[in-house]
Amino acid sequence: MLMLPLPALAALGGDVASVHEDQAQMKGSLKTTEGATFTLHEIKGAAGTVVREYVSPEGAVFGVAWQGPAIPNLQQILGSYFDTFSEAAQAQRAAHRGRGALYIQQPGLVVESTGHAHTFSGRAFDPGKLPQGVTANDIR
Amino acid sequence: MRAFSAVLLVAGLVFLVACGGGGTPAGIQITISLSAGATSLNPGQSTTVTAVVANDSSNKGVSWAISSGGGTLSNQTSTSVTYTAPASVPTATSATITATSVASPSVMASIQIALQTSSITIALSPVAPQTINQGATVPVTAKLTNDTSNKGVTWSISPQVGSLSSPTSTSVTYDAPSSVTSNTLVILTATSVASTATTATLEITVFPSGAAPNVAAVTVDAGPAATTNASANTPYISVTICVPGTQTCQTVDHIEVDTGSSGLRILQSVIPGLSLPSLTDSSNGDTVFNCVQFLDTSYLWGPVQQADIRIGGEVAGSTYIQTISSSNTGIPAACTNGGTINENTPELLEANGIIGVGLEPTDCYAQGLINLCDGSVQTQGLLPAYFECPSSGCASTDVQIPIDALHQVTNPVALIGADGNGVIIQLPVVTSADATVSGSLIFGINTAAGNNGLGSATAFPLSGDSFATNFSNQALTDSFIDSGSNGLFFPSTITVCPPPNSSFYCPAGLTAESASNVGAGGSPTSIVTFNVDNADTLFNSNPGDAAFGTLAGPQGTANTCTAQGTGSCSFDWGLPFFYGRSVFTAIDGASVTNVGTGPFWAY
Repeated sequence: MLMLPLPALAALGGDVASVHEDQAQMKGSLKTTEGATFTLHEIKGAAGTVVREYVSPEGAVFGVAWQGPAIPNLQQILGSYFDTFSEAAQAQRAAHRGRGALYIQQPGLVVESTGHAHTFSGRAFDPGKLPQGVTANDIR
Repeated sequence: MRAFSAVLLVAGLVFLVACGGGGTPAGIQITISLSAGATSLNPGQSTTVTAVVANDSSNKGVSWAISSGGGTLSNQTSTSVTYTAPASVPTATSATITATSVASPSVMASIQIALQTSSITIALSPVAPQTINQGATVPVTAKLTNDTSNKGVTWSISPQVGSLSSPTSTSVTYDAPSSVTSNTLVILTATSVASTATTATLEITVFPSGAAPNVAAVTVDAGPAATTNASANTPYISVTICVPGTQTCQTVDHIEVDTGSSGLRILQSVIPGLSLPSLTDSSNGDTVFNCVQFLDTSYLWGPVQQADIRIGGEVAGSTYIQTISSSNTGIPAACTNGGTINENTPELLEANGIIGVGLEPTDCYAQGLINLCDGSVQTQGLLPAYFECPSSGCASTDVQIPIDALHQVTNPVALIGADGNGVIIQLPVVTSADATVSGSLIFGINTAAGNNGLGSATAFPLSGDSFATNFSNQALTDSFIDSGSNGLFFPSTITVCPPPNSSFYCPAGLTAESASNVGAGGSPTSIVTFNVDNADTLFNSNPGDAAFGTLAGPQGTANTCTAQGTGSCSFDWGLPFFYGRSVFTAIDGASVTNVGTGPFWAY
């Protein structure tokens, strides 16, 4: 039996190669913009949602943001942070009774997911791993 | 559970013998023993009867007949037969099935199968929930089937609000009290005299005044009985769901009213006895499924089915709905989207269903009647909303399919005729916390119904199903009103609660705020003042309460909204905004007398 290699963990916390994993998974087009403190990769997925991945000069993805008519696959773009996210989301859900925006703020992970109808946006980052000269508000 | 009343005979009791049957050597007798898969059947049920024939050297087996009791035989072989009980069994009895040896016709055996009587059922007319004015009356009749003793029903109401007059064994009149102070739900119950476990109920909501067929009672309460945690700020109505074109219906309580989505979604587990027709692809027989994804990666999955939807006196006929599947398997990854919570129980959904009465006629439209699921938008792919699966279930790798608007999950409001241009939600003021509150969902805006005029409300034109909210020096250009959000959610520097309530704000004390809503194009403008309380304190000080007027939480991060619309650009006016207001939601493309064409919000 032929074993296929598992794809590398993608996106947040991954390296610049994971951007291309995401692009492949989303069947998207990629636009790259080089800045002074980070490189921004914009992937427009098949359903029209744009995912922006922020890559440090060292090649690490330190933030992701999204905007569009569908929610992106958070397991894909949160990578190794997904389990932490999922646990926090379920705990919040069990406690908060009812439906609203999602806001997770932990020392090692911030996830914001908002939207309505066919307009969704959000972002995720690890506040401890922002490169020098970058603030959380750059990720949007 | 009814007791057995019929003769019960165990299988294989009767052995008959004969000599000299053809093909069987003299002296060795053929014997037949019979057994049945079930020895007691309800009307219309089937079982297999099996014969074991000994010494049948020619292996000719048996032939089958019904000696008494009626019913039918099918799938006959030399050693088995399927017996189907009669569809109607007026009194308990039994059927006798006889097997005769083919080789030796004088050898026979028989088995008796008990036939249960048809259970008593009660159908009330009217069947849909009734909404009446104080002082009004509702005549109700009961039609019983299989009530062989003709004993009929007895009638009762709970709570004891109003009275019953002229009761007979099949009819009664409910008389509402001359005055009620708030919307009051009364359950009228008919109980079979012959079988007291058999009941039927009718929900009657008595309004203080102004009730009409286009009004349904809304309750904000702790949620469906199966839910252990009380829901917060979730408005519910009862909806009657019927097999299209029939009186085969079920009334389901605790359907969440959501102005932020379009279409009815109901848990399959709460309508197990209702056989709704599924939408299928005629080219391959596959069933069409619908998928909904939520912000926290939870999702809904289930077949698209057709139902007549009755709410108050309104009917949306042959409406496509999503029946939320009880199964957790056979769901494409494009639907689960990495999520782990399949909200397919009342506990997880915090409701028995969701009725989307929002701005769009189906779940796929965006403002301007742009359809995101039918393939008409060339610049992007389809929303992951529709899939098709064979009866074995979908494959994980299946991708979404295009589906035309006429077959999409449809906003029932758009199908109710004269009052189909939108809805109004009216709820009383909730200053801090209340156990429950009652209000109204009114169909139609400025229609001939006469009870749904705009009054002093202001209408806000929209762009992209949004308007702008100016709050704390932020122009939040993608803001919206949504009864399906349980708080006011907006980007602010107010302190967020510690986990697990970090989706809410926890200021030190009650905090007064104000914002202004601005219609698309820059007008009109209206200032809204509101209070934000500490959510932990609200929840801890009011255990079990369901209505919270000052519940609010973060929507992203303050001061990140850019002119390009990236960052946190939304103010979500959730249910606390509805308390103490009449909030109008007009459907995209629908015309509203003296106002214009939807979509718009008004309040």
